[in-house]
Amino acid sequence: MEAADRLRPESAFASWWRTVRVAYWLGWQVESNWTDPLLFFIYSIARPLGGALILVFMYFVVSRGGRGDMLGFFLVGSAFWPFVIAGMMGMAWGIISDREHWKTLKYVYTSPISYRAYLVGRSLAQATSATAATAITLLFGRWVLQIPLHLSSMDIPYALVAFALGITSIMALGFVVVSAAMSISGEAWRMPEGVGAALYLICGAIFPVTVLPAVLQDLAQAIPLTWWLEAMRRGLLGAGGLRSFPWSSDLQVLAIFAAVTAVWVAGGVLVFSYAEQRARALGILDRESGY
Amino acid sequence: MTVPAIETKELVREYRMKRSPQNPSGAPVVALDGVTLDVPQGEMFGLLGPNGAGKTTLIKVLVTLLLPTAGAARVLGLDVVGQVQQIRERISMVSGGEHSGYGILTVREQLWMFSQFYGLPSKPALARIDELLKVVGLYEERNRRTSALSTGMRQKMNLVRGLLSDPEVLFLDEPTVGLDVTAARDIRAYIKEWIRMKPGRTILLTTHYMHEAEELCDRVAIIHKGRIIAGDAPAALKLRATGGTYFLLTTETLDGISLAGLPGVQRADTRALDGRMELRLHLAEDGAIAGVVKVLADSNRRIFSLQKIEPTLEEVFVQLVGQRLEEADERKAGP
Repeated sequence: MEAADRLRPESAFASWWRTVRVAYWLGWQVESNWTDPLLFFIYSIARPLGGALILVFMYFVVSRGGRGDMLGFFLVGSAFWPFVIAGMMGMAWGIISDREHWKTLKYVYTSPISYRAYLVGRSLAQATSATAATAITLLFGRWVLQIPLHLSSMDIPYALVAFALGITSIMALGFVVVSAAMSISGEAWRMPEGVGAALYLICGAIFPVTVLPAVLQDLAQAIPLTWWLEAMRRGLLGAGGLRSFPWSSDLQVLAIFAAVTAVWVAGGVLVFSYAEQRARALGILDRESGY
Repeated sequence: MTVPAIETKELVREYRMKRSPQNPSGAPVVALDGVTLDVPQGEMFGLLGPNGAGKTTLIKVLVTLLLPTAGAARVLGLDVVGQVQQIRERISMVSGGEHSGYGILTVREQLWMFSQFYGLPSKPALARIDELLKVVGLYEERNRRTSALSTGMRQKMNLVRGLLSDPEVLFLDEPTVGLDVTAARDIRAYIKEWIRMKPGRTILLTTHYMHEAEELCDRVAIIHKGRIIAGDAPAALKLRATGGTYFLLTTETLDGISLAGLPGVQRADTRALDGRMELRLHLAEDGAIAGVVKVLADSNRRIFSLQKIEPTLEEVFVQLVGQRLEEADERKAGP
């Protein structure tokens, strides 16, 4: 091979972006590799959609068929929640499946890439699989439940910015979760689901955080997902409707959300760097648990 | 003056252990115990030792997968702790005895993906992949899923992955373990061919196949219990197996006849071979073979063949460690 063909000179960002793209491609190959399309449908669409609809019908039972603002509140929360689980799961699964199933972790890890970029790519691929369920849930809400999801009342740019920040915050949370998963073995893959369930309760996914005890409200405000879901509702449902933070304006919500996300990104990167160094020191980075 | 390809000084790697019935004090396991090595660029260096000797741990430290506990290690003059990224751009690793690879990808997709991790432009990378696949005889399988490959094919694919970035230092960790004779021979042939084509490149090969080390390596170090106990060119190492002479003798089954106590017999290793017994004898001097032949003749054992042999690395290992490599492996694997 000619020397010129070996390593192309590129900026750190170009290298980072290349790694994200290739890891995304790999992640999608893995994610979409359901030999049985029925299984793909069940896991990627029916399961999250079913979860959202269970809540909707529970609401109808409790409210005796009422259609208050609450319906829109938790439909949007439920519609976007699969991104949280899939994003965090994708990141943890990137490490665990490479280590335990494909046996490639040491080759990927010792290649000259940013391993963080690799995990972001794997996570984004998994998060993509949540898109269909989210879209179908929103369409169901719009056309069947008559929730006011109208293009005319939506603030599309606001929602897009909030969505991008939301995905970033999920990556940041993913780094924290994957740092813990790196240190434990066999059951590490269950972690994102467990963490997701806890966050589901306190992040205002299905009810406003104002109903929580004061301590949990404070905790909820420190977690970017709470602000993400609030911003998505404001962007998609327009003015009015139920709020987790009724005292904040739309711009304030977005600004606080961006600030909290920035803190979590910095924290996630630091925690991951520490966990990575610790795993190298303990010799557990590529240790198979044989789960 | 060029920097050494690999340089370690008093390298120590310990693993923390939990308290257990086997290790009630929870004392750490010492995998590398003060390893000092110097491998110049362009050399094919072999690391010989039984399972658990520390070979893989040393490679893991050198490829930046594992941090050393103490001591220093440099690859191409770069520190394995502080200059990780620079090292990774210039090295590659292939391990044997494992089914690594994304089974859902085809051979070509898999290799393309790794080429992207090494920053190779796609077009030349794909041309390079096809060229290497042809060399290892895997071109016809390029569009086959990795999960459908045999162990030997998968190992060839992994070798191509290792060579794809044209590394300056290639780490081969037991690359032929678990392969059939033909596949192992093919892998060795490609390694030899690669080093012939790339004279400046360095290979660190770990193996516990003596013949593999003899066939491939310019220099060999013997590692045992985390320590390098000898290191030199294979021929020079074999010269160290002095103080005796070696014979290979084939006879009928011994059924309780002991040769170890005979005058001049320093060691007698036996191996069953198609209903016969192969004896590998280390004698103090040539004349001692007469005593062996007499004992066998007196016991009505036919001698099918008798030949004086040159000492091998196996003999060197036995002299240094006091047991054969397989015995050391068995002891390690035992309860």
